[in-house]
Parts: sequence; structure tokens; C-alpha cells
Amino acid sequence: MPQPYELTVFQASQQIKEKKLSPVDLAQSLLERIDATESALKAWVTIDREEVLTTAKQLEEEASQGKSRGLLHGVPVGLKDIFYTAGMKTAAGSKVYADFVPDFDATSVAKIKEAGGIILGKAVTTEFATSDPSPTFNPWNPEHTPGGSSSGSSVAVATKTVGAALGSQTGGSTCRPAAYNGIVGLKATYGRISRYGVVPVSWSLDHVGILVRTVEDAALMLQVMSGEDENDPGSASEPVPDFLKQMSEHNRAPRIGIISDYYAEKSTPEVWANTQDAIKQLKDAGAKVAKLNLPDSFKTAHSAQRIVMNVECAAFHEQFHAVQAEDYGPRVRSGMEMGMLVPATKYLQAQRLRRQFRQDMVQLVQPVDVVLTPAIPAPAPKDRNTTGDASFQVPWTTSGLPTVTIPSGLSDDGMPLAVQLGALPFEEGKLLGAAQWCQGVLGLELSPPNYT
Amino acid sequence: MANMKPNDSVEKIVVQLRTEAIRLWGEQRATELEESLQQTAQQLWDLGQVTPHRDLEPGFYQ
Repeated sequence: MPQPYELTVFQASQQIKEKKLSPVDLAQSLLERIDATESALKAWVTIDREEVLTTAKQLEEEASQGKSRGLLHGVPVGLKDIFYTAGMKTAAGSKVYADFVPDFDATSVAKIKEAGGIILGKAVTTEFATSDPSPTFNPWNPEHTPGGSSSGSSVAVATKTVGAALGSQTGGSTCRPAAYNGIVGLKATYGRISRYGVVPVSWSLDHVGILVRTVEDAALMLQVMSGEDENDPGSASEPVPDFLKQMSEHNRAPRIGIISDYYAEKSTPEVWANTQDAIKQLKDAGAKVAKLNLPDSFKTAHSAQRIVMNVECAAFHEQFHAVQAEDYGPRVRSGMEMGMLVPATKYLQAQRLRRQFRQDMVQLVQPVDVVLTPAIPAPAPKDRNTTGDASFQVPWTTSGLPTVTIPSGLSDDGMPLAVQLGALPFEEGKLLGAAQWCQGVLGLELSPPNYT
Repeated sequence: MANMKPNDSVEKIVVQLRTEAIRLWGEQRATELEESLQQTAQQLWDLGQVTPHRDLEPGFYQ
């Protein structure tokens, strides 16, 4: 019989529904797990235990009467500390926001609460979700970076102090730490999940991210948070399907597009061999594999992403920077200062090239169900002064296409490896179905040795 | 910044960025930013190598 903290979100939700699990026992189990691990991990910044247990008690009473608020009834969820939480500090890992207490919930947070979820607490983020490393430790090896910027959310999920946590992705900040920590990361299509009430890095690039241990949980969280939001100008009016149903329907051998150029050159031999081995396993299990070539517009995708990110970051922080530049970490500060130097014409050219790239990526993915690449060029670097390399995530973030990362093995030195799958815009159901099938074939659910 | 041209070399772009950085934040800060200036110049040069189709509008929220 597993401890409550070991349950996935889907399992916990089912057990609460069947009155086999008490929301209070689940919350208590996770809080005790945090107590037992936090000093070694530094994954959390704010936890309001009293509020967590009070909410759990209320939801337990409702569950005992056969009432359910929704898919997450009684299940705790963690939030990267850039998500607005009414009455709870949202410091964004920064001195500049150190005392900021929002007076409303981010739309995604409100949706979690509406679905019966309990906000367990705020997880560590790198400063303003950029690249100055956080204090969080990688549970697989504390000498290696946990990745970022969703460092705390990823580590919290990997070490089972929560079943699901929200992250964000402007470059690679959800799927890269997911890969480095051996868990599942989902970045849905741009506009699928509202960004309203999330401290921005870059309005036109930011995505809400989902960090979980199974693809099924990713679908469940996506279901809860998706939908148009008039408060987010980038929000999509696309209808929200039943993702869990679509995932089940597409849980079969997919047509997989494989890209070798760029990814083969940038990956370490070990990562590339691991990806080839994963492809072979998937092919042997029935997947149809087709080779694809990156479009010409890929050549400028990374530069366009960086220019857009820096300029929009500069625009958001301009007023704070004018009076307290010294309060910023070195990388976030230099990034925004670079943004201040970029001419408006170059920013607009970058946005034009992004649009071309997105159109070309849609053409690229069209003939297949999903495109598969390694998720990371190398395992988490043995260097806590970096958050790692986001270059394999950037094309998906820049184009806004949905992508999911799943574990694919361990490196020779025992660090997680992963592959990422990408799909057409708003085809998350198909993407998740393919990912669930691939996860089943690869048969991996990684757990850090000291945190099983 | 107004005089940055599409065919400027990386070196020329660096000079323009550095000049502006000095104007905004002084010599010392510009020196601290040298690595970032080089990277940004390379990124701007990359973008300058491509001429978007004349009918292509920016994407922004996509």
C-alpha cells in the first residue's frame, strides 16, 4: 500500500472520489514529506500549513457527502512563485518583488481552486523566471543543476512532495528541468492556458507549464486550466476538448517524425545514442518513423527568441530598473539591458521571423502525429552556476507549438535523460496520447535514489 | 541606434551597442556587459541575414 504522498494526481483524485483517501491525510502526508526533504532540496519558498489543512478539511467534508468540485477535488498542487495568489506573497525569486502580495489569483490558480485543488504552496523560481540559478538542489545529485527556471516545481514533483506543480516556459523553463529531474513536463500551445496573473518574462513567449510524474496527470491538469480568458490578450478562443478522452483515443502507435540535423550535432554521443535507442524501441513496438528536415527559418529561431524575450523583459522591468537596477541578479539585469539597446525595427523583424518559423513548423509537423527529438543536449550539468541549455526547447516555445517531455533513461553517471514530443497547435490530445503510448513502451518512471 | 543597418557586420553592431550602453549606463557598466553585447550583436546580425517576405506581418500572440 503506497503512502499518500506517492500517489499520482489521477490516483489521488480517484481514491478521494471513492472515499478511500482523505484529503486531510493526503495533505498531511505531503507536508510531512516536505518536512523530511526540504532542508536538502530547497524546493519551496512559501507554505501556509494552516490554510492547506483548513481547505483539506472542508473538501474532505464535501467528499464525505458525495460532493465533488471537479477533477482535482482534495488534491494539492504546487505553484512556481510567479503565479499570483491572493493574499499570499509572490516574490518571483526577487528582491524587487520581495514584498509583493497580489490581491487576486492568476486565472490558472483560480481554475485549480474551482476544480477542488488545494494550493500546497509556492515553489522556488529562478529570479523572475530567467537564468540566474536558484538555491534548489537536484535530487539525483546535488552537485548538478536542477535546471530552471521552474527549479522548485520540478524538484518538488520529482521527490514526491507534490503530485503536480505549475511552471512556466519562455525558452525552456518547464521541459528542461522536467528532463533534468526525470519527470514529465508539458508546455501546451501558446494561448491554451491563460497567462493572466503570472509575472511575465516576455508576454508573447511566456507559456504556463505543467510538471507531473505521468502523462495522464499532464492531461488532467491541462483539462483543469485550459480555456479562453478575456484578461489574457494572447488567450486562444479554440474550444477545449476532453483531453483525457482524446489521450485514450490516441494512445496507440503514432507516426513519428525524426529530425537529425541540428539535434545530432548538438547532443552528446550519450544523449544521441539514448534517443536512437528510444526510437528503435518505439519502432519495434509499431510506431511508423519518418525523417524530417528543419525549415530554413530554423536558422534564426533562437536569435529571434532571444531578441523578443530581452526586449519584452526590458519593457516590463523598465521602471523598476530605473530606480533599483542593483537589486537584480546579473543575468536577468544584463538580459533586460540588452533589450533596452535593441532598435524597435529589429524587435519587429524578430517577430516577423517568428511568425514565418511558426508557419514552417506547422508544415513540418503536418505529415506526422508527433515529432520526436532529445529533450536536452546533455544531462543536467555538474555546475550549479548554470540552469543548463534550453536550446532544444526554444524552437517549440518560439513557434508556440505544444510539446511534452518524458524520461528516456539514465546517463552513465546516473542523471536522467529524456525525449520531447511536439505536435500541431491545439492538438494536445493527440500529443498526450502519443506520449502516453511512448511512456508505456519505454516503461520508465524514474525516481531519484534517495527519494523513492 | 537609429543608424543600425541590415547589412552591418557583427563588429559594427557591437560598436553601436557599446556606444549606446555607455551613454545609458556609463563606461564601467558597458564593460561589464561586454559578453552580452557580443551575443546580442550576433543575434541582431543573424536576423539581418534574412529578408522576411514583404507581406509577412509580425506574429506577437501566436
